[in-house]
Amino acid sequence: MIEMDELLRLLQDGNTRTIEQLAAELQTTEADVRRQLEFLEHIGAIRRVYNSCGTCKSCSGGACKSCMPQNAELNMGELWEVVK
Amino acid sequence: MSTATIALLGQPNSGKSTLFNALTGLRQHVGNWPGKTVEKKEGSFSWQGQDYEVADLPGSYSMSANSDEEVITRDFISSGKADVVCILADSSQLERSLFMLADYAGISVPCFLILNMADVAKEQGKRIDPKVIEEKLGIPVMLFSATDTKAYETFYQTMERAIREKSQLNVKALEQEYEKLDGYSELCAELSDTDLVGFTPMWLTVKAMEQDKVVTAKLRNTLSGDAIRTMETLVKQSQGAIGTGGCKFAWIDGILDGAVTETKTKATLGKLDRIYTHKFWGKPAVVLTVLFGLLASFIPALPIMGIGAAWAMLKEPARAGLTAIHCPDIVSGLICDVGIQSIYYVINMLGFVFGVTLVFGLLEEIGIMARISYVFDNTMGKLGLQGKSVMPFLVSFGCTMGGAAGARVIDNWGQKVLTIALAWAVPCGAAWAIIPMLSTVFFGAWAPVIIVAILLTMLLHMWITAKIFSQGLVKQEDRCGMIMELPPYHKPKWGALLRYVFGRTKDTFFRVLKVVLLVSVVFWLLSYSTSGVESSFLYKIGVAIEPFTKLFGMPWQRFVAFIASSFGKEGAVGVIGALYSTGGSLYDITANGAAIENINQILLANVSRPEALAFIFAITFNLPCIVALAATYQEIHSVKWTAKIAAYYTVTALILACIAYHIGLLIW
Amino acid sequence: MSLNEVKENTDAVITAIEGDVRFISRITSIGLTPGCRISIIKNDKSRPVLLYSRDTMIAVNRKECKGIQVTEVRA
Repeated sequence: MIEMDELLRLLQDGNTRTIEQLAAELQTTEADVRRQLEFLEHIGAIRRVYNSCGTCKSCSGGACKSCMPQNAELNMGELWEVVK
Repeated sequence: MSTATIALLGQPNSGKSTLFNALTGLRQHVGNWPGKTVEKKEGSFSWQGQDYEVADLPGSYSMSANSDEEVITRDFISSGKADVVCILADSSQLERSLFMLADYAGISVPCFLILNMADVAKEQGKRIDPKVIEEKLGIPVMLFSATDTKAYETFYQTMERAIREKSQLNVKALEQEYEKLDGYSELCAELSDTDLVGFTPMWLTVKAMEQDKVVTAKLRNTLSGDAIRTMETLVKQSQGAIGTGGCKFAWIDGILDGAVTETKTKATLGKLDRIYTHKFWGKPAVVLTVLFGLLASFIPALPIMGIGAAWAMLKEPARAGLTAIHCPDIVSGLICDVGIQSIYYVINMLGFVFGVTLVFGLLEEIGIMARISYVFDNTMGKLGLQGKSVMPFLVSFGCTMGGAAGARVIDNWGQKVLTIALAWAVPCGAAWAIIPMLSTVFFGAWAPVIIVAILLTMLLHMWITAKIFSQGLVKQEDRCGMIMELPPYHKPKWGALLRYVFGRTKDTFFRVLKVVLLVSVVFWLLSYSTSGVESSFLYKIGVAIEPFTKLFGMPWQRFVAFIASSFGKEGAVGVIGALYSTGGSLYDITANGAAIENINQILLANVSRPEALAFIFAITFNLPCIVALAATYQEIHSVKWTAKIAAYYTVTALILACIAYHIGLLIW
Repeated sequence: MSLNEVKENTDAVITAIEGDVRFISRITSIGLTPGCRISIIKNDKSRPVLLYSRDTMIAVNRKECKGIQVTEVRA
């Protein structure tokens, strides 16, 4: 399917996007993107990562609530990366 | 008849456990699957004389062999132990949760579909037609919510029908999707005569393409060497799980097409909001709302004002009592004129504060305040303020103290101070009681012109004041425009609101009382005299600076009245009257606004028209009253800024008076 | 284009939010983030832009709108 390929391509082009953004770019619904992400995670094509700044206490173990997002990379909450 | 076995299959959170517990009640057995740490739940129930065994299969995402749960689930189904598989999906997110069904497609054990959590879907505004889905799938489909006790009868019937009909999933549409995949048809042909019980060639082909370890291993055992090589090449060339996954999703979308209607929760504006956000009617609607709120504030305020009036009645008996016990005049004066009088003042104002806080708190709770902000955001933005600031301004036409109390809805401190500072320029109810009277006495039919002039001056005053004060108060980077939610209208939480209002009123009472008492004592001492006005400090000061005040068109009498007007505007006219007539206790007249007979004649005989004009402007734009001063301090918690604003208003009132006087001199 | 240029009754997706940290945190705290889909409900010249996003009606001052970049999407 072209669509899921496209999703995978977007996931590894170096930009950070939200699910809404992915949905808009793929001309589909958020629910659709969510289920595709879920599927890709289950088949091991992508994995979930949490990049926190690692400098404050609340950062341990995933999302950092007290810090601002940095460079669309740190403290962004849940992110997916493509497993190569 | 032997017992029938039902297997419950569904993703985690599909409500499987709830259904299992409801079906089996106490007749259940929980253990472990052999050799695995996965919980095994089995139970039984009977319906219409027939016994049923229920197996709650471990919650898993799909029918692939990715985890222990999935392997157990698949093994159980392929073992043939289940007569029927009950597949659960979450109605509130069918696109996602039907994936299990899509992955099940191709397994030959009869099945039926339960669209669970129908109540949640309904709440989301989704209408699901199970008949349409049933027609496309060829298996019994029902909407279900585990909490609905009536639904279980239908569940039993649906289950019974699936067992009786041995209902098989119609996979034609899904197969058509798969056939679009490169290599699918070839591989499927290769696997067409494979003998793996319970699985169709389609299912095996898809799992092979997904490189499912268990299926691949099994196929290797059954296929010939050539066939294995063909399979491996085809699989390698295929898009793998991404391709088949896409097919499954496409099939799900096809199933749901026409079966689910979502009431678009797309935003529309309600009737009221269409008025409030209207280009032309928005502002009038907001102004009317605030004025109505202002009127409504008097309803809760009146009883409290009644208490104030009752309190004031204590004054004379207290004075009599103190005189009876030979208390010195100065002490009884302090207690009665300052103590009791101040408390009376504060209670009265407190009634208004209570009303305003309640009504405007209510407006905020309901969600109207956000609309007010929206409508006036741009206008107020020009003054460096928020849209909400319009509210204290309008309230200040009634009472500046109410305006100050209303300014608490402004979240930025600087903008709050600025709002209050500007609200002071709005002539309050007391000023409106004097202005028309004085204007009519001196200018007759021209009185309306004076009133218009005052309103125009007010706007100019606010504009200039905003320019002057905003520099220190609202930093450029703090000039945050509005980014706020327009919350849906909702019912107020009365308990919390009242607790807040009472707490606030109590707090205001003590803080304001302190300030009022302090200033009252000072003013009282200044005006205290044993024999007529002439022996008071105020008189001495007034006379001493008369040459200076004359510049503003104010001889000492009116300057004293001006000073008195910062205490309370109601008293200003009385003071003048008293000063020009025989006198009496100056403080008493100021405080009580005692009526002086023949005041019109007294004024006309002693005051020229330019002087009158100067006086009107001076008292209108003087600081509103001592209680407003205290309320301002209460809101902004800054002595420095309270003093700054007060001093600013005293000076500007004199300047305005001077201008008015000289304009008056030119005219008359 | 920036948010204030979007016509009424169109949908858009936020592509970027430009401004100082304070501004960005204020915008994001109300739920407007890059990638967020929004519907423009009202866009009168002298009023804040009224938009609907994440089940919430939000008013954004016109000046602030300039810092919010969007692309229109078909509904």
